[in-house]
Amino acid sequence: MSMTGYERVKAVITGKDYDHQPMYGWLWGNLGGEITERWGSVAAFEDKYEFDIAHLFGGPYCFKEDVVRTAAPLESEDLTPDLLVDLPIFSDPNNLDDYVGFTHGSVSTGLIHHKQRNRFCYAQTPGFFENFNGLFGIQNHLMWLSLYPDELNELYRRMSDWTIQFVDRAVLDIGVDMIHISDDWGAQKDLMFSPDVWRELIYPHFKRVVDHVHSRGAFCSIHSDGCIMKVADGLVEMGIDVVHPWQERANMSYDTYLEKYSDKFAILGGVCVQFALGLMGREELEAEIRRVFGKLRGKRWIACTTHFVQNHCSMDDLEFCYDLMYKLARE
Amino acid sequence: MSIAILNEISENLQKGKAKIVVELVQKALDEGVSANDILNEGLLAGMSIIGEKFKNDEVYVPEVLVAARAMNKGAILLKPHLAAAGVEATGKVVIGTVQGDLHDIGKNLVKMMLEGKGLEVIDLGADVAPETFIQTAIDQNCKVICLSALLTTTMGVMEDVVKKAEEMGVRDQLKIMIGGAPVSAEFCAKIGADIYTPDAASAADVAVEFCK
Repeated sequence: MSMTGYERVKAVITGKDYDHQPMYGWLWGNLGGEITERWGSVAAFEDKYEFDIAHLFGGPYCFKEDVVRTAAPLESEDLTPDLLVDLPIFSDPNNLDDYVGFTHGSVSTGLIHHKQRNRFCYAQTPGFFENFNGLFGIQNHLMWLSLYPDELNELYRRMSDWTIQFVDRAVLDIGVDMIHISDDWGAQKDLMFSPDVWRELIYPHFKRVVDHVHSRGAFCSIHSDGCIMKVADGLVEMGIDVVHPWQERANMSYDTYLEKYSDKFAILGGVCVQFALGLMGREELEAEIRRVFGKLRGKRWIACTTHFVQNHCSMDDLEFCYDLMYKLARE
Repeated sequence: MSIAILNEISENLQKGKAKIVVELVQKALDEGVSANDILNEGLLAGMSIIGEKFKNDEVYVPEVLVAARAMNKGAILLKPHLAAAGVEATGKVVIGTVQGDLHDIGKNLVKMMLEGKGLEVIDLGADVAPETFIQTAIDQNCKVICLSALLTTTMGVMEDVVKKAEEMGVRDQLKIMIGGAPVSAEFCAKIGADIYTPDAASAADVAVEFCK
């Protein structure tokens, strides 16, 4: 008996049997215009390929910009965590008007549209590292991990307070199925910062959020670019349900996933935009997609792109890729 | 006595303690240690250890960044003394992220490692046109150009830089090094660049050799 997208994705995440491989794609970010020109809208593309998931953007911004501005030093000096730690920099996440992107749809369409199609809906929010990169700049933020650990620990703790309230609004009031936390920790070959720093500064606050998501009956996923293999065991301890993208080209082997982690969490990804889609010729691309399906089909895997498809990918290549994925997912 | 203070500079630099490094550099100068020794045996020695540790995955990006910050603060204090003593850099390198690419952390890390090897670095920043790399290398008499790219969409510009060097008739006078997430040794060979290095510390080692 055929499952709905929601049922199929939930089965993959919880390690149950499912009818065929669920599918999704990070598309609109760079290619919204071209997709609309070719297929009428991003939503039409998602319908054509019967996407099982919807990725919702458009929640509240977590900082009070006017308060942050009062802490900003002279232009020649850096904004440091000690300047923020005593200020009320976080916004109120409880105003549902700020969630209009989720409900009405800021990209293709909103939650109601996708729920009518029985899709599994997840809402994105930035993680601790990613969020403060916006204030400090990533290079300075990396230095502050080393120079201001106590202050950052406090700022991250307060951000976990904010995120927990965000979770309540997104799950309880709006009805999303999963909270997706985007927090880039990896470089191409390793973490950007040490596993010890991750364990001390990121893990406790992240774990608190994940526990809260679960207490509200939803799932929790993490997006991190790059190689995060050294904290994969920590993700298990944290209770993460889905990891995106499990980037094979960044030292994250699928074999390792299958051997060590496929009974712990699901992965979303598989179609590499860094080396394959938009870069390989058709024969090579087909071989690559078949190879990935050969490894991951039937496992706790949601077929998807590893990141947003880049703007050098032609619509013909995109169509070729998704025609093949659609076919292989149902074989 | 001077060896002890130079070791102290090196050790504090490795811990990223910029303020203490500056105090120790001043103290060493006051004690009559030569600026050249402070640079080579204190600052660059410490940075070299951090570079090796980074290459061996013993430290991560934050540790490199704070060490480089400490080195730069100490070097500012040394600069007039080095100039007065006629001390010159061991070589000169042009570096930048290629046109169309605005990412600069990888490039900055390489720059820090190059400076940590005593090389003078002309940093052209991000989104740099091919002709700017070549013209700067000619104008500044640099033997080495370091190209960085994070995006698969911009790595092709590295080939344009190689071609531009050929067009301008200076390819045989320049070593063109490439690095960045999507780049590989195979890609390096394909575009005719001189070498691909997988990390910032290796890039600095190779650049030093090229500058000899």
